Amino acid sequence: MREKIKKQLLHNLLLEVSKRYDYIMEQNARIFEETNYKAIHDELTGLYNRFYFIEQLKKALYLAQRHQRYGAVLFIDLDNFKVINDTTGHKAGDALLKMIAKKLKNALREEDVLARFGGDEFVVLVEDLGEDEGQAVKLVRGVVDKLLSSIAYGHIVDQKVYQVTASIGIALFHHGEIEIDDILRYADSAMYEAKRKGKSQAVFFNPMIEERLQRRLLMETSIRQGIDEGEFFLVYQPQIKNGRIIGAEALVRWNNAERGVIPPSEFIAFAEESRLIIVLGEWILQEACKTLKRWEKDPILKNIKLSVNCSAIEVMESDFEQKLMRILTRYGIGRGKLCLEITESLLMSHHASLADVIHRLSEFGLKIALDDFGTGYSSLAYLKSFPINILKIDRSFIEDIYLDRSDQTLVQAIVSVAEDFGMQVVAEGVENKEQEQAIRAIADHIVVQGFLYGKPLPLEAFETAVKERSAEYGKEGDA
Amino acid sequence: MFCRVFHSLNPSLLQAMEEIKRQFQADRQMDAFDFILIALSSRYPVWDVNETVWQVFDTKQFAAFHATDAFNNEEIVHHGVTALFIKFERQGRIECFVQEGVSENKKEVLEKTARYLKERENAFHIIIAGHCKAQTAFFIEKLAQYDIPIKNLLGGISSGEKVSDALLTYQFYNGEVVQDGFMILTFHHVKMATSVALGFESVGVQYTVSKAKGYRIYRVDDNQSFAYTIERLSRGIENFKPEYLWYTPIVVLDESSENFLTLRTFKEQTDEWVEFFGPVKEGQKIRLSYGEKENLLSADAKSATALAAQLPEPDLLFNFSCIARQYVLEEMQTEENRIYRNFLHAPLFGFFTFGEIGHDPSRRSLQYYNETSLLTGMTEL
Repeated sequence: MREKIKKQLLHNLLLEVSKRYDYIMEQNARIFEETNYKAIHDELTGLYNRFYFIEQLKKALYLAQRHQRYGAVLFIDLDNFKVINDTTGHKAGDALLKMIAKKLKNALREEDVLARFGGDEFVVLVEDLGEDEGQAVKLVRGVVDKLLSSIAYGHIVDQKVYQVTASIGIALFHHGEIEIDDILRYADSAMYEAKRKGKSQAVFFNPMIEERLQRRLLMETSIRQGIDEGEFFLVYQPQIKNGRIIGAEALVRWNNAERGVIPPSEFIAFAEESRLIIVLGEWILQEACKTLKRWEKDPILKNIKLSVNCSAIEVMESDFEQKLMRILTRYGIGRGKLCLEITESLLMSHHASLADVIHRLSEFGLKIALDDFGTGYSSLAYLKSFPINILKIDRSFIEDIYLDRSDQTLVQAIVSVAEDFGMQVVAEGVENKEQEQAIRAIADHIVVQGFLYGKPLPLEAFETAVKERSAEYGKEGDA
Repeated sequence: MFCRVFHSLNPSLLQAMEEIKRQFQADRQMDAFDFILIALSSRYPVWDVNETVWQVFDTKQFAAFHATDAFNNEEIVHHGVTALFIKFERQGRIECFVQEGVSENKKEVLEKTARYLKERENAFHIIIAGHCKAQTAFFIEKLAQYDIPIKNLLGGISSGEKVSDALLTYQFYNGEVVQDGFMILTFHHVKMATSVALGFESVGVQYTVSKAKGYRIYRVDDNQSFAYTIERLSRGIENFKPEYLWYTPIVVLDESSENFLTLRTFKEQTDEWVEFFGPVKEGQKIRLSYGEKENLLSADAKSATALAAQLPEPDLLFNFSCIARQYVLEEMQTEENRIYRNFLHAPLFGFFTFGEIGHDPSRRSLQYYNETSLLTGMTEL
């Protein structure tokens, strides 16, 4: 009896061992497959990764050279994706990326290679575009149109609809020898050019793009060095009420060691594109606070208020508020001394995310000015929902105010609404006596700013101007 | 040291003791003793043991414990009384230490025991413990963490029958009946050597225990049911009984996954878990194994040879051999002790245990074993 049991037991044991070996073999095969998959795929989207893409690109470049046929690398970058990620969180951002990856994939042919290089950057390799360049361009345009329209419709994540656009840079390759890094750089440069041109479009690479990009890089480097080496400085444009200087708008200038004084129109846009505006903006705030601190000791200057412009990129930074508070605390700036100028367009485009920040800044004693008022949608709803202290009427309404009846009516309406809301009004761009008279005829008590009263001045010159006007119009400096 | 083993199968405790006394008195080689160690069946009345021994042998120099099958040299004494008489010839002596409260996991018991062992680090200790609601294994593990001299300690778990809810695996010393504890017999001025016999060959690829609790394994590897594995082993066997799987204990490997750490004997299973006669831990690497009587006896011979190399002429042998091993040895279960005696020519005492206690092969930790035979030789200094 026992012998029979043992025989069966041993048989079962060996069967189990054999099954176990099979299982281990299966496991090993699965692990091998998984490892292999992970090595060439992007974990989030399941698309190919950089490693695989480059391997495929190597082969494609070789074949293109051998068969004299065109191919293309498409560099795709989602527009403003960082804002979506920052405002909705990474979870929703990731879900959106997965969705977009799927749509891009569906827009391509089976043989095209789509990879994710990281973040919101996707790359496509399209081969076999024929021997003729014109034909290749036409075919790639077809692919690009499909890609752009595939993501043009709203994407629903967590019951919210997100509108996403993309900028695409295209680099064609043919029979000439070209390095992998070069072709990728060309597509990347073309993508940046598409962004520069207003986003949501595709641009083919040409050598001028790279040249422009190089110039831009050079400018970025110069700005960075300029900040480090103290080449930037502030000038102060007076703001006048009843003949007295009651405040100033601090404006940044750059005195480059090689090129001399560079106007803001040449570097602010670059600084914003490269996000160096964040560093530059922090420096401006610090300098403005230093100035206010300096004025505190002077009986005439202590009543002067200072405005600084804030870029959308700066304000949308998650640590902007803390940074600002830290600077104000460090210099001990009193309530109502510093004013942040925010453009109407910024307020409109980031209405929801800015509301809380602006309320908190206002509670902390900062004044908020709505810059360029009248150029955007001029929604009165903003005036109600934000703690805005000052409305700055855009210079475009002031320019012909003494000639154009409609400008007069508009300015009158703005002043009336602002006063009803308890706001101060500043008219910008007052350059001649006619403009001044026309403004005075509408409201003689509003604050004016413009070349008629003085160009932006260096600190010492501005201080002298304040004192001179104070002597002329009386010591009381406040409005 | 002079030792003799006698036994009786008389179902009356008093008459069994008297019969053993008569055997002792009739023995021409031994006319006095210093200590008696008694293994007796749990069928004898528990509360009469101390009194009966006093009455018959007129001494308090004895200790007793439950054992269903005890060893009188080659002979297996089933449900009887087996007594080892020890007479020291020089400075040898025996000290006995008992403790209760193992199942309650009392820190105080651990500390007292550790202190006792550390203070006698040059002595040799035999521990005979109760089942203690399956907590003895954990107690032993914890005790080892107290930096005790582990290589001088070994023993086994008393074997007995279940009456109502109590498993009768008791010890008896100095009028006390230890129901939830153990006794340690400390031999002073002796030289000792130990050896362990297995005989089961591990087969196949190892498993990693992924879910376990106490004596049970729930899952192995990436969440696979171990119960299903065990169920497959029993397929096609008519009137399957759990002890059939005593031929296939699991081998627990050490951290390097290369060396044997201990064996675990199968106890029972449900759809969810498989229970063994000793603890298993998550993360442990295990393998299936198989052994037959011939393999086990061959391992016994190797073990005896190893012991003889350390201690060629022992005065006394102890064998703590598992009841599962007894099952696998089948009709050859007396052969184990015969082999030991053939190699070592000394009186042999011991019993088939519910678990063995001894250091691991690396002598770094104290282990609770299943399905092994722990052989010890001793000689007086």
